[in-house]
Amino acid sequence: MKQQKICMQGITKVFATDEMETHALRGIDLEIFAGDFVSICGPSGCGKSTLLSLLGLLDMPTQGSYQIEGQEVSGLSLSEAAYIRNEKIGFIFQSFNLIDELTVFDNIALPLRYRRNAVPKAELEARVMACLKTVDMTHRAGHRPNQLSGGQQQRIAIARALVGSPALLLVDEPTGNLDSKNGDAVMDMLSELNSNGTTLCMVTHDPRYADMASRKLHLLDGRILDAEGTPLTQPETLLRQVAGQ
Amino acid sequence: MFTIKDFSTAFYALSKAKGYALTVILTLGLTLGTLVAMFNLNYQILAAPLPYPDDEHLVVGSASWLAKDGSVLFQRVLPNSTFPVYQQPSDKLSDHALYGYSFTDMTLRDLPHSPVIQVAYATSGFMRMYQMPMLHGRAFSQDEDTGSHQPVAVLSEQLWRSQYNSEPAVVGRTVRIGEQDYKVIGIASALFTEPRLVGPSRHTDVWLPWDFNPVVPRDRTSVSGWQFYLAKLKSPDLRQAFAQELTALVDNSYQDAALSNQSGRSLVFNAEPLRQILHGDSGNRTLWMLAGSMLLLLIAATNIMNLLFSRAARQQRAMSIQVALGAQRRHILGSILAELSWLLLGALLLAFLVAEAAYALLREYAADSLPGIAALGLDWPVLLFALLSCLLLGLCFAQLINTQINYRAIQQNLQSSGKGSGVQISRRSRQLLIGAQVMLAAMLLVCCLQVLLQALVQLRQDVGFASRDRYQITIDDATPAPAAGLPAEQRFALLRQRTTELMQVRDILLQHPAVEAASVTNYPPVSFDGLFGILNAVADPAEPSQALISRYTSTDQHYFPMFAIPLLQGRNFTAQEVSTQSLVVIINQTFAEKLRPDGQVLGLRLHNPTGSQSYEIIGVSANHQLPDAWSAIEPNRSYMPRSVSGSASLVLQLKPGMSIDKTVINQAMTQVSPQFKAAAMHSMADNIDRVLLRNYLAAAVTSALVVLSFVLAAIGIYGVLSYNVQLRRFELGVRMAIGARPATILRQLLGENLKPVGAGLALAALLLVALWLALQHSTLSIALSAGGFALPLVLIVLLTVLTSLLSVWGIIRKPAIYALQGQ
Repeated sequence: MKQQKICMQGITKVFATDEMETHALRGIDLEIFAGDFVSICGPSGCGKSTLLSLLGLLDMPTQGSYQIEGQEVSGLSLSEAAYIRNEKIGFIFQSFNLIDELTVFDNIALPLRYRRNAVPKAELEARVMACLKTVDMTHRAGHRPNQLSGGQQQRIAIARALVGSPALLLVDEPTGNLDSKNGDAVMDMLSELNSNGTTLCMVTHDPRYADMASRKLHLLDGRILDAEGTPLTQPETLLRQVAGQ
Repeated sequence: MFTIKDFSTAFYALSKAKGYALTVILTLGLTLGTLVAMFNLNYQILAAPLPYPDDEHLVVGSASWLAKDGSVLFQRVLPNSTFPVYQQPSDKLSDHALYGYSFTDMTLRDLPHSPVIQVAYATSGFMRMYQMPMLHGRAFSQDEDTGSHQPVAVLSEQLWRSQYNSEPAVVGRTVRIGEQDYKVIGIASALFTEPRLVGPSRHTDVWLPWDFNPVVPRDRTSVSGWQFYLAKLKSPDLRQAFAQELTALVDNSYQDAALSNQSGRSLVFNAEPLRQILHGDSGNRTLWMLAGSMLLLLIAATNIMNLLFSRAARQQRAMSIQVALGAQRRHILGSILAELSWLLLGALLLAFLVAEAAYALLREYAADSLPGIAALGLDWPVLLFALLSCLLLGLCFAQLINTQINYRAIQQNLQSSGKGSGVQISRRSRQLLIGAQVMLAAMLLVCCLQVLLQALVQLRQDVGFASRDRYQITIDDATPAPAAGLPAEQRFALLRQRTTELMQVRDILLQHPAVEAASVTNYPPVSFDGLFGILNAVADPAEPSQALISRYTSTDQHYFPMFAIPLLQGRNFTAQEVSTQSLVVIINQTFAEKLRPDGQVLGLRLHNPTGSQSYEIIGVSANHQLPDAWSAIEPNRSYMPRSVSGSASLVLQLKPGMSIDKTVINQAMTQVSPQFKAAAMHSMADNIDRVLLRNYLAAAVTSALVVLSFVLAAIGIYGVLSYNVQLRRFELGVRMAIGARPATILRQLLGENLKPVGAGLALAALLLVALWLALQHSTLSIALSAGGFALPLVLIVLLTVLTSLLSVWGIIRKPAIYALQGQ
């Protein structure tokens, strides 16, 4: 039986301003298991990015339960969330988000430098070099991000996401800023990582890449749809459950 | 480059960013106003023409009295040997006058309440040379010159209005001053700017003819302070030649009359430009204030630069749209400069208001210690300076903005979905701004704190004598002065008689229920006018030229207990010694250590220079701790029961919470002698404050500078750091996304921010060391304090920590997604 990595139950996210409330997610139930490759698709504004932010603890849900490897993380402080994010989650962003002032090596080493317990220098170097080797970029270790092409930058971003050996890799439109050739290469790399056991959750607009996932989730108006397009969780049901009825 | 539309758009934009506009206008207005005020003060002291015709030709003559070894016994004194020279003026002069101030308070005895007045003695040339404007009547004529003994007087308009109800009929009437009636011949207009030759605090209420000056009857070897020979040279180039000519004449006359004990002494006549006498070394002090205000403006300018950059960064989207619609670089700059013009205009107007407020403060608190205060106001040089300063600042701001704005990046801004930031200021520029800000602030803070701490030490120091509830009563004594040719013993007998009478007054006052203690003395420990007596003594009568000069107090047995001055050795005077005016003396510790390094001087004797009298040292008193304008260190002091000079005053200690007025004192005086009148009551605490005024001023000015520079530095550093964080918001979001905790982000930012701060501090330290080394070669003495160095450094580091926390607080206290989304 596969180990459960992620378990979300009745997750809602409401953005409130003085004038109105926007329900970005309306009762999401989601499980991701070790070795899964989950793709999340849907039209603009359906809540994909919000869901990914909650999965990555970049934001906290308004309501609901969220567990990572059995640990409840929905009510963590910012500092605790940062630790969990650092140790259990790896991010790959659409626009790479490498830090221009750091070298490729330092960009990749960054998550290890933020560890609760300092990683010894030798181990850090070994792990960074191993990740660089994984993405075939060892020769670029001393370069700055702006000296690299978009495809190369995304590979560095993948290496950075992998370096901490996360439980889950969250991928946000990884090919959005790449041409098709580089996009394909990146997707091949992600598939290969998944084949090797890495758990992936990817947001994408591109149906081709979404099809590469082992599970496809469709989001619409803040809800996950089943294959027939019916929401998997009714908010009314959830509210009753929360109220204990 | 600008259109009216640019200005109206800029005005509208600023009205929508009131906080920004107000911050810039306030910061610049306050500091520019301070600079304008300080410029004006320095201009008045150093460069503004004096309000007298041919002011370059006016010189003030006085002499330096030199000892046998060439050392200066007294400076700026007028030898009586000058008087014959006045009768036969040099051919280098177009006019001349003798001018002197009364040493003692006098009163208008024709008025029932006998108000105290300040008197000056002058010959007619004074009123001609300085063109005294007359409101009524006339000035002194040549008929009233020396030797005429015409009892006439010119009153100041202020006195005429305050004491004679502005009655024109006062001209022609007589006023009684001392034992003499004087006919009022004129009222000097308030428009007359009196040349204040002995300091800004001394003004004149009544001008009397020179013949009535008490110094006139003295012999030719006498010298007197506060007396001058005023001259108008035919050409300013003749000043040195005139001084040399007068030196020969005055010194020869002195040498002819000199006594044997004065052999070897000489006089050197100096003809100093009027400006030098009026303004003295004030320029040294005010130039420092100007430098401080310039530094303040530089800090403010750095702040404003930061604010302008931040503003430009916030407007990037609007700029991008403008560029997308075809705006050129000049259009973008035009709109920025139009805003800048409004801001500079607002700041300039505020600066004039601030300068006016500064003038009012200076008039209120510094009029007695700084010259030129009365002339402060808005005039052309000041207006020009303010406009040029503003223009220069505007050009600097414009140039910096021009070099920093990346037009190409703005152009690409919209193309990259708003993810670029076209007006980002480079990391190096940001760090330079922080470093410059810190360097300027640190320098100003260190300099101000050094001066402040020094002033505070002086203000908090025990002055060495009690002053609470103690008053100096100056006496208008109409007793005729002993005639010049009177034998010494008869002269002394007259002085003794007067002292005895004053002691009777003292004893009557001691019966008054409000009086705790009373004493008769020529001067208290510190007099209201800063004056003191001088005793010229010698330790060895065989060496009469080895003069030991001390501040001399003739007093009684009540003086030391009343002022709680401790006696370190020996004893106080006895009543017997006082009544018989015994030849005993108490000296202070400084004097004792001069006589013998171990200070054990009891039983030693001091002699007068002629060797005719000797005084046994019976006690050593503790030093005072009150440096004044005459001496930065504790001078020699001697106290004797024997009166050797004519001046005398009463000092009273009242019981706590009690008061007494002049009427009561005058009643006591009338019982003893009709010649005595209480001129004024001066609180000893006020007398001390007057001496410490310079310290109070220094403390006030530097405190204001410390606060202002710290606030400006705080705003500036926060501005740059906050702007820095705004630019890095996304990057910080990424770091948080990959696991950086809030504390990690804060630590990282602190580490980065402290680098330019450290560099700024290091540079400031280098410049301060250079400044300190330069000051070693100047006359300015500053006691350095370690706290004055450490405190600014600690404050700036703390400030950096706080501003770093504040600037990033909005990011680290929210989930990472907010930073990633630019919220």
